[in-house]
Amino acid sequence: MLQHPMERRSYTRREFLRRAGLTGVAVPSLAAILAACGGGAQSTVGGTGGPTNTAAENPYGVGGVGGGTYPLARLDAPVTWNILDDNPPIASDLAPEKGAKLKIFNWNYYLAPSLMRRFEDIHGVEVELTTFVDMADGIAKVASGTAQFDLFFGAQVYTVGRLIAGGFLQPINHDYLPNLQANVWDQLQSPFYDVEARYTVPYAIWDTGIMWRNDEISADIAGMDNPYEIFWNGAPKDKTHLLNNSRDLFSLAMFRKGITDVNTGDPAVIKQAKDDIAEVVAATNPQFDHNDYNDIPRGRAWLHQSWSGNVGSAFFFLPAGDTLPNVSYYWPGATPGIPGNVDNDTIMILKVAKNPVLAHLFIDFVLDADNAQTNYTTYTGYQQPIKGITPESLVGSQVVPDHLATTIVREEDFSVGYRLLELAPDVEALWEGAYQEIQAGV
Amino acid sequence: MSRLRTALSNPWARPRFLWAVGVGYVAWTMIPVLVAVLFSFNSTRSISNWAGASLRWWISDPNESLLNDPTIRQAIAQSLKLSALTTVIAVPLGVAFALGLDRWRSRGSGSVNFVMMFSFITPELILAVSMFLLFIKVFRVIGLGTTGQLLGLVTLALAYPVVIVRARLYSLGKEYEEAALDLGASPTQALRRVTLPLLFPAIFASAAIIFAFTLDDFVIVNQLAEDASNQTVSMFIYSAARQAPSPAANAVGTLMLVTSTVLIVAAYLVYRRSVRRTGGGIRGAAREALPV
Amino acid sequence: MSSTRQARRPAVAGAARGGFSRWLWPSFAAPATAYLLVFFLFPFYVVLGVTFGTIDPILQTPIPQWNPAQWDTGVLSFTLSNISHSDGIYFGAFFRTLAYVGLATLLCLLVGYPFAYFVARHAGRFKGVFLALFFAPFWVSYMLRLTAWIGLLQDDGWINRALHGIGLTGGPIGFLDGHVGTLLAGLVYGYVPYMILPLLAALDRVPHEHVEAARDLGASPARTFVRVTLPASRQAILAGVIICGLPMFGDYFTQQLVANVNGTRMLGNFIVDQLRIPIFLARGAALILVLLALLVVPIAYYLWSTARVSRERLS
Repeated sequence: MLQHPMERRSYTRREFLRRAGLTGVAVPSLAAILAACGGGAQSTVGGTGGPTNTAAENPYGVGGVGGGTYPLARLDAPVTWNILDDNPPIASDLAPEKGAKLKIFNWNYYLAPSLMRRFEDIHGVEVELTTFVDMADGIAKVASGTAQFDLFFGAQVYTVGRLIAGGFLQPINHDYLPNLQANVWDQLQSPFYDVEARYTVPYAIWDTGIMWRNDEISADIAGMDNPYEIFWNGAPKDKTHLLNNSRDLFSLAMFRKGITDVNTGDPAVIKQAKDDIAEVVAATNPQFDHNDYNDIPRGRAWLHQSWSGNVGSAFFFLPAGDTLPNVSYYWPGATPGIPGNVDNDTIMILKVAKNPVLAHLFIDFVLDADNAQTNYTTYTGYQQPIKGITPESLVGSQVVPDHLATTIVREEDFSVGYRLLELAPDVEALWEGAYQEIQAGV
Repeated sequence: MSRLRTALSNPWARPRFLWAVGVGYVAWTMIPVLVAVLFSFNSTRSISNWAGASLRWWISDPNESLLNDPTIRQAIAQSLKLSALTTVIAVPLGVAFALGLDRWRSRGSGSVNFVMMFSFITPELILAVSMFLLFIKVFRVIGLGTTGQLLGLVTLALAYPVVIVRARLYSLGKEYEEAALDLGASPTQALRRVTLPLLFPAIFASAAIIFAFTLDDFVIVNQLAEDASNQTVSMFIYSAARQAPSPAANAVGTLMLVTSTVLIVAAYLVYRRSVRRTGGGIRGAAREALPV
Repeated sequence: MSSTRQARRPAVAGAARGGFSRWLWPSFAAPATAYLLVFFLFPFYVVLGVTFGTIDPILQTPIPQWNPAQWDTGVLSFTLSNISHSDGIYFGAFFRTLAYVGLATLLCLLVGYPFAYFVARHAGRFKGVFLALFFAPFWVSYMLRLTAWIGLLQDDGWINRALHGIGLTGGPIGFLDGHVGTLLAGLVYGYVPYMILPLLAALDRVPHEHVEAARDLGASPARTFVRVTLPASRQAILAGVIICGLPMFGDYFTQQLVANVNGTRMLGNFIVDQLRIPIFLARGAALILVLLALLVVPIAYYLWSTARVSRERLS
């Protein structure tokens, strides 16, 4: 990306960057992006430093690493977010709002309509679902402050800090959520990105792998020494699709080379990942999307970087009995010595929620084991980290046919998989800048 | 090429080449639409692979049919609501503007007319984005949502009644109104009793055209939408096409197609009947809007 | 006919003169004028304010700057330099947009002219039918029309089946896999009616006598076409090029639906994508300014020539 000489003289913008660095940032500043575009190794760029010394003084939370105005959660440096005086959780034992319209903001095909209808019947309310197309879209709308939703579903772990620091979330009153303690996996009851689950509740889990048409691609991808290589070597022209966000896209290139720090702020590593992806772009003219659940079964794509849950989504669109014999999925993290991404996302209650009690009740409703099972098997295709659900028992059914047992995420996968974590604003600017360059073909 | 030559040499014969062009063009524009309509009756989810006729996507699918999917019903309601309100607001504004400009001849009227025509021809994306910024940065009270969408559509539609009504004013001439004035009517009486009734077909035609055009608008309503309750039919079809195409989208598109067609045909018949009595025609409108 | 009307106009204006009447007609125009000021012209100022504004240090959203004396040109110069340098992020999209719109408009003319010529001259008693069918796409949802093609162009769609069935292709052609050709076809399909509209009106009015006279005087068919018909439709071609080409500059959904790869992204795609990310909002606004600056000349020329033609016709 180019930088005009005018930009370099724009001290007011630098000033903003500095002030942003002091006051709390939800998303990377324009100045940081512009600086990042100008040429990687700038002194302002850097980032995932060691544990912050001043954690105790940070107004937003305790723990984590520095680099932003709010702490950045890492597996070995968990963050406990502060509950601020001007933003307390709701009181316990409140009656649910009457005749209300509970507004949910979520990914498409990510919450079974049957659950929403049941909740409507139980509480005599209306549930309205608004969808966003990708994470950036969802975050932008929530951060705009104009969107009056009650619940935000599917926010990824790497967005938690900015939403809390930006004041967009309200703390959760666990009295309303007996199912959280009763049902959710122990390791996610008090996750590193939100110790004690003060602002978030885990929603779905997945790993990021490869979906392909085994009738069009003859390579034994699961058996390759490095399955990621398929994108650079043997990916079909015009029929290859990649995920449409900077984090998953560049992680693919990094994992392929054995780089496990997919939250890096090193401009050289990011640049290399961008160049590697550019090779795939030049060779295969890929589309960038997450429509694999439709495009792979219909043959519009033959090779797709995919989230495992999207395989399950595919069945929702097929006639009963179709088990997709031509579709395969593999998570390269299962191959010894090859790193892979495994992750979970969250449910949050927005600060502007008009129906906070119903919002709490809806979360608890979704964490019910039977409901979670219905959600997974009849609609979303994404497992929830719920103790009662054993997807292995579903192998052989249409939900998980034998040849797609590879899509099941197990609890122990979380101990070997790598996670996409929150980035400091200037680091994120590097990632987004590189992604824009891929989009622009430069 | 020799056929083309024949066609040119005798422009009043029936040149096969040009007939092929004419029929071919109509087939090219209409057959895909008919195929889309056909696939709304497909029995499977595919919009490319015909598997037999069914009313699944219209009425029988318990979750995703036109009849049973609350999202689709909501989108239809929102489309109809926005179009109706746009028509109700834009037509009186535009008709008054056309009358005012027709009689108010000054330097000021020239500039205003220029701005009006500029809004008529500016690419929709420019209108949509500038109004988007207006609503999120300045008029935050209005914000995004139904009101914003409505104001955007009125901006888009305002020039249609102006162009159509002014053309009608030209073709009517001044004689009727002058006669009324000569007989002692006040200007407002002349307007109410004589001019407005004569303008009725043009006003009616503009209303129908605005309704049908805004019913299918995508760029403005999409840019100015806030949440699911603002989703229109065009937005529904667009997101289905981008993510997972479904014959239900074809079905709702078909329903809108039928609605618009009925409306336009009705408007045309009414227009023709009333214009026949008073002379003039819709061609005047095209002539004023287009430098041809 | 119009001269008599012109002559009488002052009489009506005279009748309407007087304390109350002087303001009557301007007051008719006032509401719509006010509306245009607030919701059409003022938003352009907001675009300027956002483009030349600053960034809120906490929320990271643009703060518009209303005072031109304090405008910060950083984002605009960033945008312009990324258009003008060959390794800039908008360079490709900018020239692609010009090329695609130019090509698609030309194709619209090549498709549209013969059709308009046919309907105006040769459709005979079927003219009404052809006119009705021609107008239909104006009220059939653009999204439905595109969806129709998406169905037809799939690997298992009817077009691939037909091509395979008659032995032209061995396997399916991936029309929707991100090809410029599909995008151009989509644009032409979507916008060609706007090209035909003015052509139809103009060709319909070329007097038969002129064509006959030219033929009687011994002009060859081609010469008659070039010397009589074509000049008579020159103004209409200009109108068609403008009203068909302009909206294409703001198109982004056709690319998204039929050719969704990076290599076909147009300016419209960059504009809508940047609007989704708060920190990039000002960049989206700057691109709107660029687009407006690019199009204001053809728009103004078109409006000027419309006004001129209607003045000539009246006098």
